[in-house]
Amino acid sequence: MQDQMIDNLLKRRTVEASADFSARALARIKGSEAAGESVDYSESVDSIINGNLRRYSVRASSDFCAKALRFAVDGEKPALFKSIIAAFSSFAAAAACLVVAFMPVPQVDKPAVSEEDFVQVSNLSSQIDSIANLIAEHEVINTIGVK
Amino acid sequence: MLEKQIAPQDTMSAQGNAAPDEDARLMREIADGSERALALLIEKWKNPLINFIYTSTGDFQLSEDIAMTVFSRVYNARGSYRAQAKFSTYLFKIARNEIINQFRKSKTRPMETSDIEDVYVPAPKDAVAECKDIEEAFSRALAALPERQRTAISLLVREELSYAEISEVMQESVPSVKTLINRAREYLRAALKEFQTR
Repeated sequence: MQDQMIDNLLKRRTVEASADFSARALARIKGSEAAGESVDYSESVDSIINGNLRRYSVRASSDFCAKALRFAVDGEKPALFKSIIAAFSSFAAAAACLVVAFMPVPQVDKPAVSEEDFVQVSNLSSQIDSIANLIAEHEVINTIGVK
Repeated sequence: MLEKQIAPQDTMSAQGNAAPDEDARLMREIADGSERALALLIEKWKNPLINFIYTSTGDFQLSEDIAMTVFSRVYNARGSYRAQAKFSTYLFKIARNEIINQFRKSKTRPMETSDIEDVYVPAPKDAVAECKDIEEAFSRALAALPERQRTAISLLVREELSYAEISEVMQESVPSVKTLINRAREYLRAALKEFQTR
C-alpha cells in the first residue's frame, strides 16, 4: 500500500511546459544553426566512458581479461560461450583503449570532441552493454546447468 | 546473433512499443530538414522531458532551459541518429548528462541528506490539511533523496521505463538500478510513515 501511495504522489508531481516553450525551443535551435555554433561533446563522451567504467570496473579489473581468456580456452566450455567470453574480453580491451584515447589531457587548447566521435562512443557503449548482457545470461545458464 | 531470452519486465517498458517507430520516423524527417517534424517531436516530448529534469532541479525555469539544450543536442545529432533503442531512452540519457553538466557548472545541487529526521513531518489531525502535508512531506523527502535514487525511481514510476532502459539512461547496471529504486522506496516509506492508512 505504501509503495502505491508513493507512486501516486510521484505521478501527481507534474509541471506543464510554458505555452511558448515549443516556439522558444525552435527559435533557439534555429538561432544556433544560423550562428554556425558547433557543439563540443567532450562532457557527453566523458559521461559515457565513466558510466562504462563504473558498471564494468569489477569485470575490467587488471586480471579479468587474462582470466576470461584462460577460461574461454578451457575445453569443457561450449564453443559459443567461449566465443562470447572472448568477444567480451575484446570489447573490454576496446573500452579501455577508448578510455585512454579520450582521457583528458592537461593542455590549454583541448580540441573539442565532435558529434561523430560522440556517436561512435555511444554506439560502442551500446554494443558493450549487449555483450555484457549476453555474458550474464550465459553465466546464469551455465550455473544452473541448462543446455 | 543470438536471440536473447530475457524476462519481459527487464526489457519492455510499461509503454511497450508505444509508437517507437513514430519517433524514429520523426528523426528521419528532421534529418531531411523537416521543421514540422522537429516541432512535432518537441511538442510530444516537452512535458515528459521537463518533468524529468524538474524532478532533479526543482527549478522550473532552469528545467525548461535544460530541456531546450537537450532538444538542441538531439537536433544537432539528427544526421547520425540510429534507432538502436527507444527514443525515450536516448532522450533521457542526454537529459541526465545535461543535468549533471549543469550541476557541475553552477555547483547547484538539490538537497541531499540521509537524515530522515530532517524531512520528517508529523501527521496532522485535520484530513484536508493532511493531504497537503503528505505532498509537502513527499516533496521534501524526494528532494532529500540522493540524485541517483531520485532519477531511478522517477524514470521507473513516472516515465515507466523498464529496468534495462533505466540502466541505459543512467549508465548503471540493472542490479544497481534495482538497488537504487529499493533504497529510494525505503527512504520515502520512512518519510511518509505517519501518513500510512491504517
